[in-house]
Amino acid sequence: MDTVRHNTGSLSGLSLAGPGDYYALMKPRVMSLVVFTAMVGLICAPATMNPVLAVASILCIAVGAGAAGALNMWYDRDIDAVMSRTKKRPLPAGKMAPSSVLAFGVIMSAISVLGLSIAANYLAAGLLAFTIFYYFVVYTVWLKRRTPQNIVIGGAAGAFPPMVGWAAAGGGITTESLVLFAIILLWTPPHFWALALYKQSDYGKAGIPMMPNVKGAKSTRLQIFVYAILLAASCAYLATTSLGSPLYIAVASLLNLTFVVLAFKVWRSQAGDNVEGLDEASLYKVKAGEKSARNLFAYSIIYLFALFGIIAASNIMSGFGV
Amino acid sequence: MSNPYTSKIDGYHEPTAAELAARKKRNLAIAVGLFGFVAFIFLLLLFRIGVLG
Repeated sequence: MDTVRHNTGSLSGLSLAGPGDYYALMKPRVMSLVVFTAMVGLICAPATMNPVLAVASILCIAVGAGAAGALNMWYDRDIDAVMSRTKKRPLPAGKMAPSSVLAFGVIMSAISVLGLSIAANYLAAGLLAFTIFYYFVVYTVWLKRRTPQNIVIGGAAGAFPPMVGWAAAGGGITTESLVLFAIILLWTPPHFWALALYKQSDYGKAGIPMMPNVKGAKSTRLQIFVYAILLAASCAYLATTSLGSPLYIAVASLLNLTFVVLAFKVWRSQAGDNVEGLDEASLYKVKAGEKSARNLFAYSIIYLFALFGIIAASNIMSGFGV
Repeated sequence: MSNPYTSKIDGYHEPTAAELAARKKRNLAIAVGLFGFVAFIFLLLLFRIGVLG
């Protein structure tokens, strides 16, 4: 009989995983972004919602995002064990059995979709179910290991939450919610490729075809700049919808100008040309020539929070007649 | 596999104190989670049918 059961590394078969490890499976940092953008969608939708049901809807969306994260960690446990950035996750660290993680992801997915169907409506629940499916099946299983366009197409999974929030409030699917979707979709490639430029050896070790590994750093830097322009254009288009306001136009212009300048600096830099270098678990330690990529990656996170923050703020202010 | 004549379980390893403590924490978390889920759905339904709010 195999004495090491359930891949936990424990002779008894019991794992040492605690509730905190299950929380880590839900990718709390990604979840915070999902919750925030979904909340903005919910606030900005042209419909009113009971505050308790709104909070419950956001909770369901957060749990759904976490469930998708857990399913992703279950499937990617082999490559997570190879990359310095991910090898301390609960599964590669041997803290829990893969079957436990799969069960956790499936149960949480079901709970989140069921809860959202009760708290909001079937459209929002259907969109949440599709988001989980898209992130797990389309991105994690199908695209991630096959094509350098993985995060371009897979980025849609991260772009759905404001649409889910908008639909949860009763706003249906409108031009505004589609533009919010497009903004995150176009933000994703420069965000991840900036990271991949200075972490490509890590992705390469795991055999993940990120754009710098496949098409080279020079092509990736150019594409980052092109996506930054497209992102600015989609933000400009949002100004022509009901979500546009003078405050939004002023702040979004500043945010996008900075984004384009930083993307331009990445394009003109040597970032990613030298694949040998730091292989630390830190997201922000870089060699001197790759600071522009690190700066864009760090700024892109602030950018998205600030952009969606100002969309919500200007919408709330217009509600008060300001 | 258990031996039906001796009731001795082959390959059985006594869990360590840390493993038992971790299992207790997980069981408590599952209990709290289940109770929270039932209460959550119950309250949601009350809100939806207009009994609350």
